[in-house]
Amino acid sequence: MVEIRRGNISLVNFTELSDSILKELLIWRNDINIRSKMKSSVLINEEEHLSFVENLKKSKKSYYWLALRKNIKIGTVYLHLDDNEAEWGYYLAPDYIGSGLGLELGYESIHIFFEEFRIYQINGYVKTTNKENRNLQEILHFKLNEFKNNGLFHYYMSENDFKAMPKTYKEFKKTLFK
Amino acid sequence: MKTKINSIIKDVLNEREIETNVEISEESKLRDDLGLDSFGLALLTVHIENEYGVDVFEDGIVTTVGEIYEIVSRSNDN
Repeated sequence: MVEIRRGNISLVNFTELSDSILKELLIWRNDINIRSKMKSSVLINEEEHLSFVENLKKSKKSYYWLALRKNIKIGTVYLHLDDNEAEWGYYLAPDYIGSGLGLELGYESIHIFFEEFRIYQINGYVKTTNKENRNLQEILHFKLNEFKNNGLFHYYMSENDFKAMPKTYKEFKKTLFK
Repeated sequence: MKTKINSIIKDVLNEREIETNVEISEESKLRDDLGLDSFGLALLTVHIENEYGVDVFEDGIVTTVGEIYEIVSRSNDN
């Protein structure tokens, strides 16, 4: 199984996961605490989910990964490439919501995106009601674009913003102290 | 060790400007009882790691103060 590793975090592409793990991810995705924070909060059935993963195998623009921390499944991350920009998003597994692990997952994922893909800007869209995720985007050095559409805030990070970030999560954590 | 951990928790609560009237005990739930948000929890784990050199998330999720005592105590034994 091909993994992208950085720090304690590993990402495994959905297209390489077994059906049983994909079914587990569908349960996460349909959990009310997760889908209520997503752009589309409709329930997805198993057939739609497996067909979505099948389509990912043909895509060179969309990547969905299972995120593990020290081999424990903690959530998922996605990246949609669009020319030299990209949109990212993540969610933690239901048991990990609000655990504080989103920060580490976000930090390492951003580094993987800029280091492994040739992109100049990453965009993130967060529901205006999702205060914790908005807070997290800002802690991760994303900038808020005042543009608001369909109840979403647009956050972005340029390559230069990324280069100014601490290079390891250990260094980054030191910057969190007041 | 427990007093020190409680003091770290209080520092994080102050840093996050979270007011709580709940006495910190072994049974206290970090999120539901003490009101720590996800960033507060991230900060707490950073402080614990700095103080004791232990990764609070080593075995997965932590929800109560008692679980932190246990993880730190176990790491001291090793």
